[in-house]
Amino acid sequence: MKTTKEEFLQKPYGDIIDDLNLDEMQKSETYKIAFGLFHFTFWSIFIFSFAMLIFGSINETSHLLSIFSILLLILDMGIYIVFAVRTSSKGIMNQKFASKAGNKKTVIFYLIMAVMYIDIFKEDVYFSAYIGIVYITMCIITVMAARNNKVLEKLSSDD
Amino acid sequence: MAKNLKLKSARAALDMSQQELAEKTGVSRQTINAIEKGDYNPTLKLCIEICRVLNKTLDDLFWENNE
Repeated sequence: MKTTKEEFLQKPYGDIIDDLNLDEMQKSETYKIAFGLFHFTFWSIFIFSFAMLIFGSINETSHLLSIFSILLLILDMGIYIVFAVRTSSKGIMNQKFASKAGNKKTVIFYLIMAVMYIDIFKEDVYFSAYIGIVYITMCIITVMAARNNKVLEKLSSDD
Repeated sequence: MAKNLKLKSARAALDMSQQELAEKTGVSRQTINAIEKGDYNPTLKLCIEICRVLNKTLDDLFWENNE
């Protein structure tokens, strides 16, 4: 139940991204906005970290830049993985994505990519690490997609 | 979405303001306003709660008549 005005005023100052005391309509609208921004932030950080990696490799003394780009990527991919784990556990992953990503053809595709990756990037440590992290993330997402499909199958078979 | 005039008139018939209805149903006045203007589709739980407060049925307040 929503708190009364008095109870609300006694609470310490709230944050703009705090959903405390939002009712169903406010939450619904807020979550739509937040999801769009999450999408934008994910891709922005990904592109930015890649740009940093490229710049770090051009300027060969900037090892720090390359390392920072990889740390940023780990954070970005980490959040992406957590999102995939939590949505797949409830069977609410984007169905269009999950049905394609969770099938056997995708596994073959990843095996081919693994061979290409080992051949192309073995020379550069930072690029290897970067592409490796993306590759591992994609593998985990594929597993989560398959899990999502299993959860949906179980939900639709329960009486 | 069409405006929910049935809800508005049911509320007015009981001489109840949007604020009062909001407090009794546990939502904000903004939400009641959005429902009446047709800008928001409430959950079934909220629909039932509104009906309970206004002493109406779901059909009375939320059934759309296609003319």
